[in-house]
Amino acid sequence: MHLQENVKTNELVKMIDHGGNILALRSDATIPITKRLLQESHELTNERRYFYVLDVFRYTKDSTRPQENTQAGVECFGANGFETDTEVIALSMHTLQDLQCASFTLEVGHAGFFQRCMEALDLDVEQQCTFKQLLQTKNIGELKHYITQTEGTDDWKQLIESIPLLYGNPPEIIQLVRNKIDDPIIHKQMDHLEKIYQLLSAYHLAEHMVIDLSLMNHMDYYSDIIFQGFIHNVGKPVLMGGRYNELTKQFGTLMPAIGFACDIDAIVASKEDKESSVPSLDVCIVQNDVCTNESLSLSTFLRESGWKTRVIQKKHINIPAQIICHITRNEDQITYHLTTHKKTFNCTRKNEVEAYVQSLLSKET
Amino acid sequence: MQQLTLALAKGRTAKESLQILQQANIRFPDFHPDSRKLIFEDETKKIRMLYVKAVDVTTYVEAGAADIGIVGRDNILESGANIYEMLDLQIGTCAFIVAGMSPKPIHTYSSIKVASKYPNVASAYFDQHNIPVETITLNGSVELAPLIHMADVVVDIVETGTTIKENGLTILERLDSISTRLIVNKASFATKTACIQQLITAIDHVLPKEGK
Repeated sequence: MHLQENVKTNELVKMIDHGGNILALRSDATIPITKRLLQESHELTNERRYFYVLDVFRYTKDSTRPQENTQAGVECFGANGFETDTEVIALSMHTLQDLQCASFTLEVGHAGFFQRCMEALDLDVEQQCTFKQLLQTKNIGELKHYITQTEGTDDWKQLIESIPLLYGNPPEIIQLVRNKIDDPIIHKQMDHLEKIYQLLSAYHLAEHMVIDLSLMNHMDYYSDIIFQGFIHNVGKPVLMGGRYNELTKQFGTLMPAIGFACDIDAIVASKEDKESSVPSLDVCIVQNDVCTNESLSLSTFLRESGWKTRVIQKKHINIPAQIICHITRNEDQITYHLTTHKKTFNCTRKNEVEAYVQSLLSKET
Repeated sequence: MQQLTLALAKGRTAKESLQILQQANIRFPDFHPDSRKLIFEDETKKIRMLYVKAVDVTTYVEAGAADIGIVGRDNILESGANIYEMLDLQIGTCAFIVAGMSPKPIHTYSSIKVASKYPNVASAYFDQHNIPVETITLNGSVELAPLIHMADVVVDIVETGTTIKENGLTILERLDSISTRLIVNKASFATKTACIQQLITAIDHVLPKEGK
């Protein structure tokens, strides 16, 4: 068994069976899926794509985290490269969009980055723990102090003490790192992150990506990109994932693999109160002073056509509705701006609004 | 602009923490140390402050009930919270120490009984030194424990060490040094990056800089 290398054994929920053997409840979904796949076949002729919804069990120090946790995730085996990485990241973002999370951020880092930094500082195992701890807490002051005591050239030291600040807009951060260090491995990692960012633009998702080069995952098996998704008003990541080519090597075969898992309990908890108190609306019209009559007239028209409609004042903007309608006036010309979480549509007449609502929502009714 | 929630530790460093915030132009006009209120808003309504017990600050921040917190490193280490520790406010400086009745060095103990307000810090320290340890958690006046032979040593924080000496104890080891820190919830840092970075820069700006 190689599990010890990836899972902290004191976090496992253990039992003893009637034969006196110690059993552990599943603490993670990725490891058993990988193990099972590699038992079946050592060489894949084509990609394998899986999804799961499973409960995992783990003891943690964090008292806010339950021992039992429902995870929903995907794993993709057999494909390497930035195209697959981007596809998986995009899927994770689409998941959050489909859940109608008003705003979300995906932090993307690279597990190889701090590995390379640790090599450059020539740290032993104990020092690596301290180093990781300082990075994970973005403890800039103490990291700086710690770096001065280590072996390593000045350019590396300068790069490493700035790691907690290497957070934010991908093109900026990538360029910053390239300027700081002339190392082929780091440059290759930055190229990879850059390609992901560029490809995400094609998915229209690049705005949600930030780089965090001090990002580390609790699970140690990640080898390349790693990412975490955060939504508004939830104090912990709601999804985590990354590429784990190294894990398959531990089971005897090197097979590229990437995946992510969503913390279903956290997502459900974040949605509960809103959905129970506010019925979901078809159309929400945002009223402003210049178009009061048009707002009310449109709302009446839509309600008569059978759509759940509400007119709101500008200040409450967090009303969940399938379609949000803003109205603007330019001299005598009225324009209706319709927005869903995926597209926008503009028109000038009420029955065009109704036709559009009809075309979008008729399937559900 | 989104509103930020700040959990501020009550107690010895609250006044100094508020002074630093004031220098960074963050003022809580309603605040008074004797007030029974628990929530205060700043003048601009951009920051909501929760005035809570020091040991609870990391709990509020880790759970995301507060985006940021101001608390001593002793409480951070004891809680083991998964948070960002982004600024050293350089106030409330003190250190963790091990003190005992006899000057017997700790590595000569084959097993040790420790009294502390910080049981996790204490047991982690002796585990690290491979000394079997029994911890007794006390909530105050830990110096008493060795005097009445309830424990061999204490693990506590000291500024000057006067209380320790007045009670006839000897400082045996100095552990991590401690000061007040600004901590940040990891999810808040991702979803409210601009607000938080702005606040950190503003506070960092008024902190004394090392002579360079």
